[in-house]
Amino acid sequence: MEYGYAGTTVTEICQRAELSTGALFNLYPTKEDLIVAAIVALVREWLDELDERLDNVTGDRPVAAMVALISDAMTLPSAQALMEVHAAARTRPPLRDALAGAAAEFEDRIVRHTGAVFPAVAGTARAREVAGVLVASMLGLALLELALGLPGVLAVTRAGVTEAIERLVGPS
Amino acid sequence: MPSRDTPRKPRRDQREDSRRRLFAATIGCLVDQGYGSTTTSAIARGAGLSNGALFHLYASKEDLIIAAVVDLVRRVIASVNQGLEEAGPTRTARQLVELSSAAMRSPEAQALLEFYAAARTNHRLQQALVGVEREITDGMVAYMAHAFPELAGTPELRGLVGLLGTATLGTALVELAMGNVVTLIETRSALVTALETALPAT
Repeated sequence: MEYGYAGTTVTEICQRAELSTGALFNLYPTKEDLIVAAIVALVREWLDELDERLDNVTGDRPVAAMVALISDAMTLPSAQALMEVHAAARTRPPLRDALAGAAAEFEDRIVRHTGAVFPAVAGTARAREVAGVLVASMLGLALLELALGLPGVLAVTRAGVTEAIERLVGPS
Repeated sequence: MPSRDTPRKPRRDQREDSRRRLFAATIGCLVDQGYGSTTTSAIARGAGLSNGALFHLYASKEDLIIAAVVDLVRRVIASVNQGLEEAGPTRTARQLVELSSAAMRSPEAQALLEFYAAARTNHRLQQALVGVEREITDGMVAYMAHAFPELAGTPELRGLVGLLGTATLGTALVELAMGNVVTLIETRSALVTALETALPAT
């Protein structure tokens, strides 16, 4: 995460994990195998953390709470590592497949939480639409804020996303 | 001086020509190899220039990449503007969403995603990104205000630009990372709905 995908070397990983390079290659024959296995674990860890946070959405502006919780969760180290592999995945099919599964799972969970917070749209096409806009805008927002190194800086954008989603879910 | 009479390009044109070729080669390298594997010698080779000629124009790989990305952003914004011009006076939210996502789906736009990803761990790129971002936002504010004059100068305009910008970026990220296996049609039409409910009726 600190070095980015291209700057991550197997030697560095071994030093951090206190393993010999031989022991590592025995478990994962290539850097890619290791990273795919790490992604699967990271996605699970991150989604579980996100689920836990989204279970506690309350208040009179639940959409604002969801937007804040998701964009906060995007700054977790596990999410930053996932954003990093996103760029690398484009040219590496095994990483791409792992991330395709992660994105689908992310959206499914947001659909579920949207239904839980807004019973009026639960199980409707609108819940999937809301989740689609939330997932896409939160990914874009995270990419920008992480790239700028200024988490939370795009407050106007966050407000714009919140208002748009509020209009989509209708009066609660 | 006989050389003055030959139809050689003036020096400034030559330099501009070298720049154009370097920008095209830089974007090509970023798209094909990603930021980490992009080298100045590969760029110079792609542009048909010597390493010396490259470094004469740009002091470092970062300087060149920043200049090429700024140029790319300006062309992407111009292409959306052109699309809006061609659409005529009645513009819809759907046109806006489709033009923006078409611009981000062009192969070149992958270079922009590479740039964002690299900026997170590269301070020099990160500093340049502030200007790049401002340019994108200003461009989007201008074309959105042009397309929907009723929104010009309202506080909602910037929020909607943020929504359109981040959602377009996010869908591009998912679509490009997954190699166009999926196109997020549902998300795009939801974005259209979200914008439509915000836009004044035309």
